[in-house]
Amino acid sequence: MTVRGAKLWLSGGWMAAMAPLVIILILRQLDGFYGSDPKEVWSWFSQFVLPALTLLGGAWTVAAAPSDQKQIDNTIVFWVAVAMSAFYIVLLYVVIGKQPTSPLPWQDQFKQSALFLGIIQGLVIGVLGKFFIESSR
Amino acid sequence: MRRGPVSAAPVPAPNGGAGPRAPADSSAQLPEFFPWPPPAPSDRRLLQLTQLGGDTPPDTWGALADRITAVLRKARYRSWGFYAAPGGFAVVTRIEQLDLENGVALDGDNRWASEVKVASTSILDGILTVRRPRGVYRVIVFVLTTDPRSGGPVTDPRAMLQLARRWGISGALDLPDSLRSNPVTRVQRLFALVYEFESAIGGESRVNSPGRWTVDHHFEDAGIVILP
Repeated sequence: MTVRGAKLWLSGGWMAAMAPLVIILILRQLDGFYGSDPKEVWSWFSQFVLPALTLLGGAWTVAAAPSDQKQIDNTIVFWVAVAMSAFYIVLLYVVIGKQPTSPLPWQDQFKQSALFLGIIQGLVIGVLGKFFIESSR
Repeated sequence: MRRGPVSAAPVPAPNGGAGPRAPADSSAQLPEFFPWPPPAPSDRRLLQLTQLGGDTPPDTWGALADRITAVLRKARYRSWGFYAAPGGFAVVTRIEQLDLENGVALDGDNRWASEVKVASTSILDGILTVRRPRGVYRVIVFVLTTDPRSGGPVTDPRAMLQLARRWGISGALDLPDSLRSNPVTRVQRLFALVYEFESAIGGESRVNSPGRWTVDHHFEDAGIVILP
């Protein structure tokens, strides 16, 4: 797989996975699921979704480099990035999927999820960054 | 069942109208229902003692308690709690869950479920859920008291709902013998309070005040027969 193809898969996967999440959060907000003050919803979203999307977007804003056409040097890093991204995205959906039946107020649930999402997000961003840096050499 | 306005006139005192006798204090022998006066209910109704059935008005607290529990048994209530009220006592029914749309008690055991029955607990269904499962609940309170004041709005509906979930099972099972012979006097009033709660799982709770349905609706739906 070329570097460009790998970038496309990672970015496309993230975008495709996050679009339904955004729609669900908007529908919930409009239906009053999050009460009258849903600021914390979008604070959670910007804290745990935007960093990865920003990193992926940043990789595309760099002018196309000759390295985009070469084959991936280290496929392990790419597949680790894919696997960790998928795992992280599943966790994001688990958090919002548990909210309708959780006895915890949604604000508390978001706060609780921040404990583990923060750690895993750090690892995901690290692996994604490593892949993009290595592939641009 | 009574549909029209109800007279507030109490029955004559059992001591032949010789003057009100101070009722014994129930607070030492029964748990406190609520710091008096209780919060504003969803609806309320002043009752005459004769409206609970029987050939003659109950002349003692014990006789009145028996009438109230007989009415509740006929309405298929499984449990209730006796609590102290100023100059009298209160009987609180176990919390019931109602249909969100029409205020009718749910069928079977669902009537007594104090939480909304969630159709599915799968994460996939949860992801696609954009509205919180909501429940409507009802508690009916019969109060005999010398202080028929009503309090202000509920300040902490969530805490009150948690309290209400235990009312019907936490109070005394029956009126203590030491209170049963206390006479019902002219200065006491019998009334019914209905509290409607709405609560979403993990979301907001509130007490409907005024309620979505009338006390008549709740009596009729619950099967509580109040004579004209």
